[in-house]
Amino acid sequence: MRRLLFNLLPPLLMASIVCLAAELVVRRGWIADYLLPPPSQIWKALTEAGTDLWRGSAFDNKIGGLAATARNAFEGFLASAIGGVAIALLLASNRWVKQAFYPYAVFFQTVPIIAIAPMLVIWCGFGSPTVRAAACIASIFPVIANTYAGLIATDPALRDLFRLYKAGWFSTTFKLRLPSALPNLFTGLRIAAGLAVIGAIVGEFVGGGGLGAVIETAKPQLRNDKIFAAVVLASLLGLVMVSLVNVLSWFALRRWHASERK
Amino acid sequence: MSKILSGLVVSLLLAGSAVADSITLQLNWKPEPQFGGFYTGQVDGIYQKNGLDVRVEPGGAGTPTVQMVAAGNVHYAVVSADEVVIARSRGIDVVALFAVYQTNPQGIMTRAARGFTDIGDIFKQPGILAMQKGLPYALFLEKKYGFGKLQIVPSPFGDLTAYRTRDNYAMQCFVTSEPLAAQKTGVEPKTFLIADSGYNPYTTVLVTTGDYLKSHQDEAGKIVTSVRDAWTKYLADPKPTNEFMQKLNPTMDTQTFADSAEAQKPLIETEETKTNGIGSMTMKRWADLIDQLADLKVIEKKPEAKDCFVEMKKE
Amino acid sequence: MIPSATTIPVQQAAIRVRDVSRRFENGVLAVRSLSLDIDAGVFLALIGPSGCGKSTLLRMLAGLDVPTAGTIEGINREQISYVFQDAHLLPWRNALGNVTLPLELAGVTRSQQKERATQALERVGLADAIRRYPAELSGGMRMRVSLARALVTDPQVLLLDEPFAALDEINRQRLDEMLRSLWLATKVTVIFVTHSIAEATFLADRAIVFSSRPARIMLDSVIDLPPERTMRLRASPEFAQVQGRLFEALQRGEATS
Repeated sequence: MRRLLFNLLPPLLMASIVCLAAELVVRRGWIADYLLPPPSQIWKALTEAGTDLWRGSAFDNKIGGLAATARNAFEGFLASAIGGVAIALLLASNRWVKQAFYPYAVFFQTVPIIAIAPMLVIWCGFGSPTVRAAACIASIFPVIANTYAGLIATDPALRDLFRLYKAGWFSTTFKLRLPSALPNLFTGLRIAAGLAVIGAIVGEFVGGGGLGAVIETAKPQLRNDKIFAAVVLASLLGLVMVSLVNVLSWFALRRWHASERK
Repeated sequence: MSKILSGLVVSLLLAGSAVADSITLQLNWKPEPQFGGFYTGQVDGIYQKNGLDVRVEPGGAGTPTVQMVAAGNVHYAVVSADEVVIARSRGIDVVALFAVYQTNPQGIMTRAARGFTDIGDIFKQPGILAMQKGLPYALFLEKKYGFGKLQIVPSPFGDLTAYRTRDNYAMQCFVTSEPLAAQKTGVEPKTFLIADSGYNPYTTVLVTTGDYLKSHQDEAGKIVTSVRDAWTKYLADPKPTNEFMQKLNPTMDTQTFADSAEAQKPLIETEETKTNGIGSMTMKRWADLIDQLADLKVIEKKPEAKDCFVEMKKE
Repeated sequence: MIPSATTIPVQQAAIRVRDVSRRFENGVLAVRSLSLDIDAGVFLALIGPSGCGKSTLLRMLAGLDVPTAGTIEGINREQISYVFQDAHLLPWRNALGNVTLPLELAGVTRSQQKERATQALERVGLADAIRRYPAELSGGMRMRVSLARALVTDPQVLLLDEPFAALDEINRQRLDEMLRSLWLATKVTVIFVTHSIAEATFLADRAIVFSSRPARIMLDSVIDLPPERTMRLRASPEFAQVQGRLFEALQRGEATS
């Protein structure tokens, strides 16, 4: 408990200093509030009665705001976790498959979502499906690349051991290769968690709904306080998702991997 | 101090759009006929003739022109009248000098096959409408007609993929731009002006800050005169300027430049401009707009109509 | 031209290696035309300089590698266990989980798995550590888990590839003693690759000394020491004499390459 407090103190202190400084420079009139909305205004936007930041109705006239972004980012992330591991397994299954498909896996990393967004909307439909797809596309590559790196780095002696005991594909995959790739997989998931949130919001710019729609709506009304409030919520969402991965990683690796042992 | 810091912030945000000795005129979209006159001033040396060294800077989706002009990063910028009112209600001191469009060129484009005859028809049937929802005119349409049966989705900013693939799809547009492109796809469009619904702010409005205007009265007067002359020239013969703009914006073809320039004429030249000159504005229309925006709760405090613009009548 | 200091007792050979060669893809010839008989129940040490091909021979015996020429017969690959240099445990499984692994892969029932694995861990002196993870064990303990994993399937042949090379001297001698007494109790056929003459002398009943690559047999000798081996033996003149003989063969093998 004391350690937790000790760990939380520096970032909280940092946040307080930044907030105070921002408040000060705006109150003093050094920077105009339409360029840098002070924390007090952002707080007001967050707590405004009937605000659509949290779960108000958005483009698809259903749930919106943070609730929608969180749900779609999480589902997109889940899809990229499962899909990424599956693709990595496929790539690691043999050399030929890897050489044939790896260049196309890189596509996911480089694709500018905003450019293919209109297509995404046509393929997936407006609202959540497009948002989920964008979150998945934005976040799947680190999962593929890291898991693949882990899969091909399986200890050769252990592979020999499994061969000696005549282990089949299923046993070798689930008792040896996947567990030994777990530390890499978690590295990939940690990166993917943040990217999924970014992907979701970009998806919302074209597909509608969620914080992305809130930002788009606030823009023409010069509601920068609200835009910053949405950004704060998006960052918090990213933080929560990354923390979730960290907790999972701790449970999975604490007994055996250097990265999670004190 | 505030100017320096604010300038610093915007410069950081925009990754250094340098302010040189010349006068910068910031547009809010790519070089297209909607800005034709501003470029004619440069092409025909009209600014120069009036002793001005003007640089016309193109913009893009989301170029924050109001913030840029308010922070002093650029001297003049193109915004829309509702942006002026919203900015003023938030204490941002921008002043309109010249309004290119008397009639707001924004509209809603549907497929002709749907057989709508009035803008209100769009809202009576189920369908999809692509529109940036926070725009004041979107709020106006929602208030007037209601979005009951419509699914509102984000604007594709000119991309016609959805228009081509979905027959119940309508989208926000510039009547001088997207409908021309839509015609080429073979799916006949039918376009309705937002202005016909009763919401008609001046559009493509040249602004500067009150501060700057006070200290540069003479320069501002020359700018307005130059711009008015240049627009008159452009409307009479858009071809040379179109050729110039096409070099800056090669994705738009020659024919579209010509068609678009032709299509916008009636939105710029009206009975009023014949007597008062192109770009002129009236107190009544600014006051109406302020009332409408207050009514839509886009603004809390009503700015004074007389502060929103400076009338620079034709000499 | 096998220089034999002692005659090899003629018994029923269990494993027959005939004219086995192994050339790697990069052209290196690791083993050339090697022939060898190994009796059931023997403790055989294979000694040679590093990289001489003795590990390659062991891998071929295990079926992990295939000879480019020659044959290996009489070894039932369902009934072998292999111990690697370093423990090579699954770090995400505790000691018990590591030892049950071969039984799991063989489809032994869950209750049987646990019972047999626990027994195997008891035999290597780790009854108290069955819930601990490899990261929580010392190097010597990890190696013992590795031995337990090899023994849990009750193999007919136990192949060990320099298993204790990475351990410190004390731990190494302790494990040597343990391995020897485990062998005495089970009479499993042990083929033990090492480059330590002392270790081979202490452990084995028969030692084969190889030359540098490609491996040729320089000496194939019965080690005539009492079956019960203790620390005291290491200091005896008989021990020194056997060591001397092996050492001389090893030196000759390095010189002739």
